[in-house]
Amino acid sequence: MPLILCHSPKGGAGTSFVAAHLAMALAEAGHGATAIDMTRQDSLKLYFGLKPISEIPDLEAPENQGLTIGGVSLRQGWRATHAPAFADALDNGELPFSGGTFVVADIASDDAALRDQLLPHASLMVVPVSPTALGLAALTQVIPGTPLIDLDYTAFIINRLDETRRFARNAHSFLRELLGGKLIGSIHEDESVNEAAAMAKLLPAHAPASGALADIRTLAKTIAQVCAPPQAEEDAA
Amino acid sequence: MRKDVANLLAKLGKREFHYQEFADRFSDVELWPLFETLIHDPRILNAPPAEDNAEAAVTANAAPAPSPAATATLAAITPARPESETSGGEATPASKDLSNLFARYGGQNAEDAPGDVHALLQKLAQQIEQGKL
Repeated sequence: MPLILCHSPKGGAGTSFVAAHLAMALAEAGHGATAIDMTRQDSLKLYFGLKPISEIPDLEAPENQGLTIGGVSLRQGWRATHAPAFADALDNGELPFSGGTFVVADIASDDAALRDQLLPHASLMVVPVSPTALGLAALTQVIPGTPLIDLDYTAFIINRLDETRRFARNAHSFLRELLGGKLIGSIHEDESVNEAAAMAKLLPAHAPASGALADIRTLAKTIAQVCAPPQAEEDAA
Repeated sequence: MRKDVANLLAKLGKREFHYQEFADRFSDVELWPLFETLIHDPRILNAPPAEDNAEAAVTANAAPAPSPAATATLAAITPARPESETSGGEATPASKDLSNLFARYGGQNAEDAPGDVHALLQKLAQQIEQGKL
């Protein structure tokens, strides 16, 4: 069960969007996928066509009380992952996730403690980066104590890229050189993402030709290749 | 061709257009002061030597390590690349990354890719300091 952490050191980088649509793209590709909102904001659900008032099942709720949208089992994990029992379970090597599916965790930018708790259990950490000055400056804070270029198990995605913007275009080229293979792709700026959330619709239903949707689907294929569940690898063989 | 572009051209009925994505050459990138700052930031490129900075070493040790299972699963992103994008066998890991990188962006610049991103960035930094850029 590959655990994929989505976390950016800079708020507003589009981490929830990446987490939600990564999970949906993995599900579309035939993988089992669970998306867990581990933020207090509780906004991941908006990318699943839900409204702010909608409640999604707690991470510890029974399986028969689950909610599946777009092929993704959706869970709210902020309460459970911030309970003392969660840290104890991790210390004992017990992950409260099960099955041979991808688990995509949306972690708030200021919740480095939770990120650090989960990182040893993760197959990959996906870091969305805004192609802005502040977005690039925040790269110094991805994992304190380890130079960015030396981070393993970490993949970067440029999010909300608008190549008509001078700095964004330059930042894209700079990050490509700086990060090498760790930069696994980019997602183009696309207002239909915002519109879909505002209309409480799934992006594939609202804008099937969305450029951002095409981008995240491509990225999901890359990520699935990188950290496919063992069973999937056997099936592929 | 990207799906959104294909859809747009289909809607416009412009099937005679050819489409190609062009990656900017790094040499054409404007050198914003922020880029220079990041290149020189040890949190980005260079780890402080352990013997010179015990505190940094302690901090680094505090950073959680990936699980052994993750190690087996993920060889530092490399398996993600299609075989067709894999560079030659004599390349160093860094240059492999870079070659694959350019290949992934359309292969236009693969031959222009420098062998070592660290060396390239150091060279650029030196040229900036010398006022050549």
